[in-house]
Amino acid sequence: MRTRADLLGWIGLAGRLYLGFVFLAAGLAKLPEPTITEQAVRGYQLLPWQLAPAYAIAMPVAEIVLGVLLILGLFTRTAALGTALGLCSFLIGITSAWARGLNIDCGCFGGGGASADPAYLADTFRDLGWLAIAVYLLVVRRTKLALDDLLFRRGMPPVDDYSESSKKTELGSRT
Amino acid sequence: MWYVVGLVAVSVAVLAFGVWFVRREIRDQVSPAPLLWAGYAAVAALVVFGVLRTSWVVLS
Repeated sequence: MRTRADLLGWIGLAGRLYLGFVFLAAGLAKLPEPTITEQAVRGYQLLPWQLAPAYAIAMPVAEIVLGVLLILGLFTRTAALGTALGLCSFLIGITSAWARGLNIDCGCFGGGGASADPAYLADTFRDLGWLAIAVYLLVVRRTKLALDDLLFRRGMPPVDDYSESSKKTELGSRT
Repeated sequence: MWYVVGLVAVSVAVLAFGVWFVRREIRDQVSPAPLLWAGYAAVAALVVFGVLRTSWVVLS
């Protein structure tokens, strides 16, 4: 029988896989080109100059790790929190560059740096959509076909299934 | 200037959402309260640092 928790779990699986592959693709595109990524990071003029090389290596690695965790459903909510924080930082970078009148490419999937035709509005809405998926994964708690279920929660009833109404029924049946 | 005002407003909303989220997790006994509040403090520090740094760069 399909319950509301089942439906939310399947939606969560779809979101997890989509967001996971997006982050994995973004990380894999940037990882082999640290110099170009460093240029893209410097284009935002937000981080101190000396931090850009370390950030240009750490960011793709973090994206790949988060992407793999989301796809596998391992530490899903922690990965979703990391993804949400990363997306918030990307949103701040893009919108602040927009507000300062910089002309740069976001460099989200490689490339980046100066651009004659920046797409700030599209980038912002795209990242907001991904952020919504990450927040959904945080709030929904359980998704289908996740390694978390195999490793940590075997035999435990989902919290969402244990509703306030069922608690009242149990209490009522005792009296 | 308006960008910074908007950024601060959104950040306050995010931090408020975080408080609601942590209280919900504590109520449903998903994780121990000290762990959740410690995590919230770490994330909140990151958010505040990000907002301060961005505001300084945008206004300077």
